[in-house]
Amino acid sequence: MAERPAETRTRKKQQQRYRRLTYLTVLALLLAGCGVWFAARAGWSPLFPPDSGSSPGDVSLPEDGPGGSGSSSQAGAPGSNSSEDDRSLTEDPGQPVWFVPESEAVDASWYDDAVFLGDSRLDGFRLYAGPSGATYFTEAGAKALSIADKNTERLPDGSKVPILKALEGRTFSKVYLNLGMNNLGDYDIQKEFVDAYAADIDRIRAIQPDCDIYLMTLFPVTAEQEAKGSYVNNRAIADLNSCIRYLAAEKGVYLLEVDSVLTDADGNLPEESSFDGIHLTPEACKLWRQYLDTHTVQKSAAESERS
Amino acid sequence: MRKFLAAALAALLTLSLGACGNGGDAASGASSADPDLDGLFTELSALCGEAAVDIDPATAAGLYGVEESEVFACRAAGGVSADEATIFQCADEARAAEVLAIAETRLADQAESYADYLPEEAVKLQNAAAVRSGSVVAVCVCADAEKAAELIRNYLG
Repeated sequence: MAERPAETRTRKKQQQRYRRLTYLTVLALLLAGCGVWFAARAGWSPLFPPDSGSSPGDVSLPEDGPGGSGSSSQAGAPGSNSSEDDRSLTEDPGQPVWFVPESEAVDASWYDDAVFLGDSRLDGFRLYAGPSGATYFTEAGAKALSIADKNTERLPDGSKVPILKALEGRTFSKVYLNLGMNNLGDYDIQKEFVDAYAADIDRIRAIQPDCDIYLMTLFPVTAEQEAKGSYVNNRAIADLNSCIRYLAAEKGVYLLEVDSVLTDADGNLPEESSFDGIHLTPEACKLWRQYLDTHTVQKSAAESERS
Repeated sequence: MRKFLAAALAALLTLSLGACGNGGDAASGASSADPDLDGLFTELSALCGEAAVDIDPATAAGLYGVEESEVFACRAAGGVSADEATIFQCADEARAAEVLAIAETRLADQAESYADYLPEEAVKLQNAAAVRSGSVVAVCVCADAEKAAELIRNYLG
């Protein structure tokens, strides 16, 4: 009889121990979950484009790497009028990213049949340095997903449609895309940026089958913005730029590494190039324009005729 | 002596009132058949933030979908803020009414666009001044909407 209470006590202690262990496990799991969520929000998680089976950095980049000499683009670039022009990356996904080589500056008429799609940074570009003959479909908060499904563009008949829908019924030879800054805070970058941007490119190709598509990389933010600890930081921007390079290769579209002209030695946007750490000043936009003017793909007469 | 003093004071008062009136008109460019659009544009531009710069008429015309010749002057900020001062000079009142409608639609669209992005800019857009007087249309998006409206009233009547 004397042993029974002792056994009961032992059993109770064991139960208490199990209960404590269970509570601790649940707490640890909750903390880990929160940590993963915050890391994802802050853009700290590594990003892997779809079907790459590797990090974006492993996408077949040229040996000197993106952002190296802007003219690294010379090799394998689609701009050259060689027989290789007709190659498509979808036929050979192992080819290097299609950088656009530096070329002689074009005049403003180059953009008369061009359309620019993008967000508030592109809004600034349009006002401060953009060619007035071009068409612009921009929205301050534009994202890779929203340009396909958010009614932001006002048509002449008064109706509002998504940016991609606004491309219908008109013909453009060049489509310049500048998206991603508003995707930095997305929870699922893979789905909301990489997959959505890939779908945007497919849709643009379907609407404008003969156009050349130019993807622009994202400019960094200033050191001051970086110091805020916000999700709009240069690590997250670098991750998205890797995704953009991957997409250019995967979709066989031209890549414009515009960020190379506005990145200082520490990888930041120079302070004097921005009003608020993110958006560009008129002088910075003029450098952006200069880059575009000197990075174009000139088609041969035969190719233009085919188009 | 008293009569003389009263007459002198009355004359002084009349003169000073007249001077005040003239000065106000001069400062505000009182409305007339030929309003001082340069003066209005300069004063409206001063209400816009540091990111606003003078925009060439071709670009401004593209923003609104109007003829380049209809843009008298434009100053605007790109992306970072919605601040803007634009003056249109149209061929006639009917066209000016159309341009005003275009401007109002653009302001509403922009306000919608900025609502989730930069809410404080959306408020500026909602309160923006867009006024037509004769064949002139003035638009101003800035933090001090009341001041902008007052300036436009003073210059355009």
